[in-house]
Amino acid sequence: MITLYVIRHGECEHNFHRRIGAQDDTPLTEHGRTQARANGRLLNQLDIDLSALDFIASPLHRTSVTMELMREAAGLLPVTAYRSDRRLMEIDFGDDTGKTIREIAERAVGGFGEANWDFVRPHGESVAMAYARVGRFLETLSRDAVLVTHAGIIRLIRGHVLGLSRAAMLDYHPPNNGIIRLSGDTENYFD
Amino acid sequence: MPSFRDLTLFVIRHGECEHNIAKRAASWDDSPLTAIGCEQARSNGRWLREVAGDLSGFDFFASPIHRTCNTMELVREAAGLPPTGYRADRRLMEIDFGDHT
Repeated sequence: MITLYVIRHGECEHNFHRRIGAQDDTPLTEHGRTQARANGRLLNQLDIDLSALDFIASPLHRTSVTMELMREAAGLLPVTAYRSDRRLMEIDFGDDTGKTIREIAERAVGGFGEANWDFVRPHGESVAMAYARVGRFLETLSRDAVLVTHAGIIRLIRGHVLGLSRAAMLDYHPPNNGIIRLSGDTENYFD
Repeated sequence: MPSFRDLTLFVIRHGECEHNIAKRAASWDDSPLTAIGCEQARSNGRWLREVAGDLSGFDFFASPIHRTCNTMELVREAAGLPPTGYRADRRLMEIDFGDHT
């Protein structure tokens, strides 16, 4: 049985402004950098052999910086000794990238939630397409892993591992701090 | 499409990264810049400041993948600019090699 430690990137500028960054990146705020370092210290307190874990980040800048600050704070050197996998990138919002969360939430069609599961955003992808690629990524794992990724992808990882309904999967809002541990059908959150 | 006769673009590749050395197609899967790659980026920053002069009227865009953003930040720093004052746009990402990555 594989145990996953799932971590969201620290707060970044588009989080602060309540916008959809999706695959367009914005820098971590100072607060976000502090959150990433705190996760590194937290990893050390979990009483596990960190050297046995696979470390994998979304290749977007905000998640890679989070991974490196976290590894540095955990004393895992070199900080760049981790893998990147494109299937951990945030859901591609296409032409909706950069819009405010409120603007999208208020839409009759193409908003958030289960009803929009198959809605393919113009020049982007649907949640269903992202769910499938996250599944293909999870199938490649062969040992316990630390994953640094995005809110939209964390929902889908929980969905796959815990076997959640679409509604339950999407009704979850991971914070920019803390570590989610998924093991079998058990979930724990540490911060 | 704007007229590129009236626009000047400075196009910069990311510095050397580990998959470049290994001659692999990293595509959207990233690998870290090597020490040489970091120096290439800084050298581009110094060159840019010399050639372009006043950079305040320029837009700065990077592919949002880690190696290009790291390159951009090193370029800007070496050019005397704050490292993070640029935009990342997903349409500048490398061709997606999918299963050939």
